Amino acid sequence: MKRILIVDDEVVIRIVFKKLLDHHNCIIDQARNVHEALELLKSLSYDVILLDLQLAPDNKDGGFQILQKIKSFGLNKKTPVIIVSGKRTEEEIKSRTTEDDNIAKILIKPVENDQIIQAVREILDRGFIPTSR
Amino acid sequence: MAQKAALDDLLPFIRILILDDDPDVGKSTMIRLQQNGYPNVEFTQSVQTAWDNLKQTNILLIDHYLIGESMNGIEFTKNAKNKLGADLDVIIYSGSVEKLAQNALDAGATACLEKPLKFEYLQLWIKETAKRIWLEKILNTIPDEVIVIDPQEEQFGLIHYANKAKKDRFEKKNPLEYDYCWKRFECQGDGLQPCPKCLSRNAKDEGQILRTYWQYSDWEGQKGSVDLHTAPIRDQVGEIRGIIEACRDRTDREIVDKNLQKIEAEADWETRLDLFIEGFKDLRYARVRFYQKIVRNGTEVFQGVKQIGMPEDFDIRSYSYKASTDAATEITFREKHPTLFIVKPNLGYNWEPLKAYAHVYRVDDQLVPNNEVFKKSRWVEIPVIANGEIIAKVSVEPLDPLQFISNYNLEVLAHYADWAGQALDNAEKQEKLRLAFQTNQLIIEINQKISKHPTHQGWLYRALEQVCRVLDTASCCVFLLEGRDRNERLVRKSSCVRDVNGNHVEKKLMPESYRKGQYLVGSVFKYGKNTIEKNLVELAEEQHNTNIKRLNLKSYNDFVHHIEEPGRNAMLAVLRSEGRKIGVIRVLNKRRADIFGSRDFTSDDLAAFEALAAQISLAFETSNMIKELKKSQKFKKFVAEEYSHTLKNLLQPVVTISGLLQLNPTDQELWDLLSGEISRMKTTINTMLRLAQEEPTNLTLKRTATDIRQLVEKVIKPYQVFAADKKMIITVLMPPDIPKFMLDETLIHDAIANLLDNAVKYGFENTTITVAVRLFQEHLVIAISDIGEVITKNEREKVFDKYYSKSGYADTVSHIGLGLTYVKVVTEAHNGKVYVDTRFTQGAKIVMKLPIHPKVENGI
Repeated sequence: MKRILIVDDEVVIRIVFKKLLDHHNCIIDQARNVHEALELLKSLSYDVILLDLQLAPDNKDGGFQILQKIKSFGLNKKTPVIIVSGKRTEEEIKSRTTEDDNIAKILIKPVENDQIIQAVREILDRGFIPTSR
Repeated sequence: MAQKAALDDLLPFIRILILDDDPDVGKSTMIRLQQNGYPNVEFTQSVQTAWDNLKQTNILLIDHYLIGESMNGIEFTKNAKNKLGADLDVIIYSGSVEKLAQNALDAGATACLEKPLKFEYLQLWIKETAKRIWLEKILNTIPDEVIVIDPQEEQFGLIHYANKAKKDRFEKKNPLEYDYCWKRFECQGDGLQPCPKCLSRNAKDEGQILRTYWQYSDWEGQKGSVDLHTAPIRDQVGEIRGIIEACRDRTDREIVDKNLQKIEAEADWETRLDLFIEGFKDLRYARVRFYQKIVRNGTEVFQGVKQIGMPEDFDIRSYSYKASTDAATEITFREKHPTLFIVKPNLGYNWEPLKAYAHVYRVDDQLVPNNEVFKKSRWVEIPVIANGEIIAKVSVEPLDPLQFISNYNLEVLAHYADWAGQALDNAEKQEKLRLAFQTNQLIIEINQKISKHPTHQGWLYRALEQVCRVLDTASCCVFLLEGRDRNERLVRKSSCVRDVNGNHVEKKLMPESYRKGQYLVGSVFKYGKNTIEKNLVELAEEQHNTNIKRLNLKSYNDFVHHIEEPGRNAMLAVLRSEGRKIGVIRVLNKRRADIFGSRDFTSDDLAAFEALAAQISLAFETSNMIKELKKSQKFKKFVAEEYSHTLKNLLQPVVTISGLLQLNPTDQELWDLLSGEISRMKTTINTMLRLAQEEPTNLTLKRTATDIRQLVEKVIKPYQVFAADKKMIITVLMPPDIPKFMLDETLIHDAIANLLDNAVKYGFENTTITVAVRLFQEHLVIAISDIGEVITKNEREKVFDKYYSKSGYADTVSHIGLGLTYVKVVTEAHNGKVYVDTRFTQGAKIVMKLPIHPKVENGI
């Protein structure tokens, strides 16, 4: 069974994303801050990570921190990441990430359910294709 | 009245006795002295002979080692000083004085010299002694004018104290630890007891002893003292505060008292003064000193502490004074500052002449002199204090390596240092005033350098930078230069423009040539509260309005004394920005009349100048606008980003939930979440809308009878899920019978929601959030507290500011920082108060205190 990690500081978002993806035959884990996310990423191998960039009131760049650290964990080195962020534009995020970050998709909030499901399915069904930069 | 005795006239009458067991030394010294103008020198080898002749001796020169005699030099000195006190000066000399010197001084010797005697030194000492005798003679003949005695003379007779202090200091080995009474002449002890340092006593009552200077034994062996009496004398036209320093014995004291009574009984001022002087002329040690001021017919004729005027060109940075190596060390400021040390500034005076190097150091200068003397700690340093800060230090080191700096020397030195400080205070005030006149310190002088090097613009640019700085902006500045070329044609209007970064953006040609000496002084004055600046503005306006086209404004003094005469060598123009006066620009005509003949400003000049001023105003205005605009744009961008981010985050769950509900409309959890999220969204949007404007609009309250219990429950509901996520518990404390209140339900809801939002965000995991509602003194009190980050005392006011967040205003905030501001606005709209309860130290506790609205309906 596929394993998905949802990283978001807003509990409601995690709850509803979980409900959304529950129908897709996956195990879904949640993390609400950098610390929790890294703990999970260290020990478990994930197929997809849904990542918010702003984690906790005083940590605007928590998502980026995770992207940095994830590379040193062998388990999830290649795990594709879907960024779901409230930032203004994709470009803004792209400018701060590299190809090594395995960004599969950048979604700007608010995101329709179909977009999320589609993005996740694409990865789970066909494997990871990095976004063209 | 007797004539003053001149010191030099007195020298031949000084009686010197030399006591030495070695006839070669004694005789040769005697002869040398006799050849140098001291006929009354005697030499003896016998202690007994010396002792018998002591009374006829002014100065005793004595060898320490008196072989074959019953006592040595120091012992003899002790006895002699006991017998004659200050009427005898003893100079001890010896082959080696290193260990001897202190004992000699303690025994009462004036000096201790090493053999072979340096005749110059010896003479110096003798002269100083002569000075004392001379002074006594003068004092015996009170002169026909008031004697004004400088502070040094107050030390008359201080030798005993000086010696004691010397000893003390020697024991302490550190001259800087010297216990000095800084109140000096004003000291009166603590009111009851004499001051432990200077022994001064409280003597406010007239005729009391102010200070005992000197206990002594008289010629006849009678004991007495030299005291200071106070004797204020006043009348309608003036005030004399005299001090009689008097009284060798009881008879003298009686004379003083009698005279005082006589003086007090006399009404006429002049007579009183005469009596005052006359009455004491027979006293041997009496003298009169006026501390404060004498006013005659409304004119101040004398002030005891002389007023120190500073020359206008005094440069505070270059003060320094030197010590000359004349007989008495004269300390004077350099020609720059002649008045700093006024009255008789010889450092060493009658009793203990001190030939010394004196230096003034700026505090930031290297203070340690690189010499042996310093290492011996025979070096003192006195701070010069101006405006409460140590601005310089005066150091003194005696020339004679065996000489010590006495208490007395130190006192004098300290006094002058203090005086210097005062003078510098005054100087600084004047300097400040002068700078204020130049208003924020700008006078740009295009001096001859530029005349000589018309292409040398660096200097000019530096000046321009100053203009910018003066007007608190690094913006543009236009500068006018003008001159005449060889054909007497006016070459004018070189302007330089700088952009907001201070970069030179446009450069018009400098005038091709300047006649030497043809230059102007351009000044920019910032408009402020300073009256001088205001006056300048007024002058400028006057110039404009009344068509007095030119003003004769040459200097500060001209300005201060108001120029009444329309002139020809100054132009003024007001700089305005957004209708406000921001400054004045002034150009002075400094053409060198002596070289080429002066040319006055013409009306053409003035027109051009005013146009230029308008241009400058415009430049400033533009630059300020650009700055403001940039600032505001930056801020708007920030706010817009934060708003959109917050809204997007809020919208996300709603979008997802609604999608899910389409698939599964019966999922109650989803419905609950949706309603909670919508509630949160409403609160946020309300908050934003209310506060998004620059100034929050006045809220119009729609008060309804509100069930506070229901309201709180409603607010809490959507936050339960957030609290649960952090394993927090939200507790509500509320009395069971709480009535309904007339509140604007929506606003209070949003306010509480904002507080709760913060509590959930900033509270720690596994803690409790408490919402406490109670009635207290006609107030509804709602307090929301969390266990978490504490709001410090410094923050407690700031937290209610717009866009404030813990990490700073509008910085890396994730939320906009409007929540608490909103709470404040809402509470204040209800005539209530909101504050941080700083007694709560485990986290943040915000308290809303709302007065109960009078319209509360009965029973609810």
